[in-house]
Amino acid sequence: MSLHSRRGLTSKLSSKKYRDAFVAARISQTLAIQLRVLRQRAGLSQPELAKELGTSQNAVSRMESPKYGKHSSSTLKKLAAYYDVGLIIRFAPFSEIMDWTLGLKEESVAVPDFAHDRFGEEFDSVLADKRRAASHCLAADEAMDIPHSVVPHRRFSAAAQSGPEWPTQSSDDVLTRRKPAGTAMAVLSEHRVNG
Amino acid sequence: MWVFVVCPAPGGGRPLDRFIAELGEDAENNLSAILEDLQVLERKYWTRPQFDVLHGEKYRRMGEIRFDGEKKTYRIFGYFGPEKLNFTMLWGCEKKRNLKHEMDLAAKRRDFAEENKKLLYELTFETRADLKIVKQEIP
Repeated sequence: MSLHSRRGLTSKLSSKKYRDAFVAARISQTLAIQLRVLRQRAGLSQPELAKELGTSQNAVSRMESPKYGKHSSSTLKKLAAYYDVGLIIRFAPFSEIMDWTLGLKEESVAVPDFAHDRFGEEFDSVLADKRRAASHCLAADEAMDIPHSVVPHRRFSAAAQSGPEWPTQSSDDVLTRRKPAGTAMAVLSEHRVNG
Repeated sequence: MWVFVVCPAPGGGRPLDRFIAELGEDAENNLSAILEDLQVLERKYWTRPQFDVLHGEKYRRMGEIRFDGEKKTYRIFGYFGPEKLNFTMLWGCEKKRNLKHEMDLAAKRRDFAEENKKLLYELTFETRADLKIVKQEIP
């Protein structure tokens, strides 16, 4: 059940003062909550995240405060890359923000990382293609009798195997990330590691 | 998804509606944004600085929602219940000093809410406009 009705919110947004407060609150409050939830979900304390990012615990605490409101886009991009989540920074019509507000879902606030995102069947088929392509590469390596020790393969890090709910390793390649057993990516990675 | 419920006063008044209606635009929107986010989050993510539990047997199952606006700090005291995925709002106030008196009042309202579940109603920000009109009409 939404706290606002579409009609009621539209009525309130007719006030310029309310509109300004509406936008400011959705940025400062939601950003603060999202940053805190992303960190907690990654199983990190503020000092641990500070260490990972090469900053101070105070800086992390400040970023998670709804009163801060001075996040730079470069810091947000860095955090988005670290957590492997998307980031949208753009102007938008009020109607769009209202739709977003009225239709909030858990994943809108507790944002899943790429490896846990839900893309549906289309993504599964893309992964299957990647897996087939990688298998061909492996077969070619074996045909040319190249020892696996010189083939740059991907390994699970100890942290990713025994770590928090979400992988916390910073990487540009989803294939290095931990996936639930039996998924295409896990099978592929294990195959490459074990030869 | 959590449902925010409101407990009326034993005399039938709706002090929390009045409290929300009297908030400024900044405070109301900050509260609204926090509640929208908490509504879809698991209990384990209800933590500081937006939420904190109240400690002590007297305040069992109780917590406070914290927000700011117009250079003031506010608290809404509530408790988890009476139903699963309910957070019942009991009392709202500005944080100027030690709030023990307000916390004790909220604890009494929690007991009242437990005994009068049928009187509880769902929170909405819709009443604000109506209350403002009433305030303007009465000199």
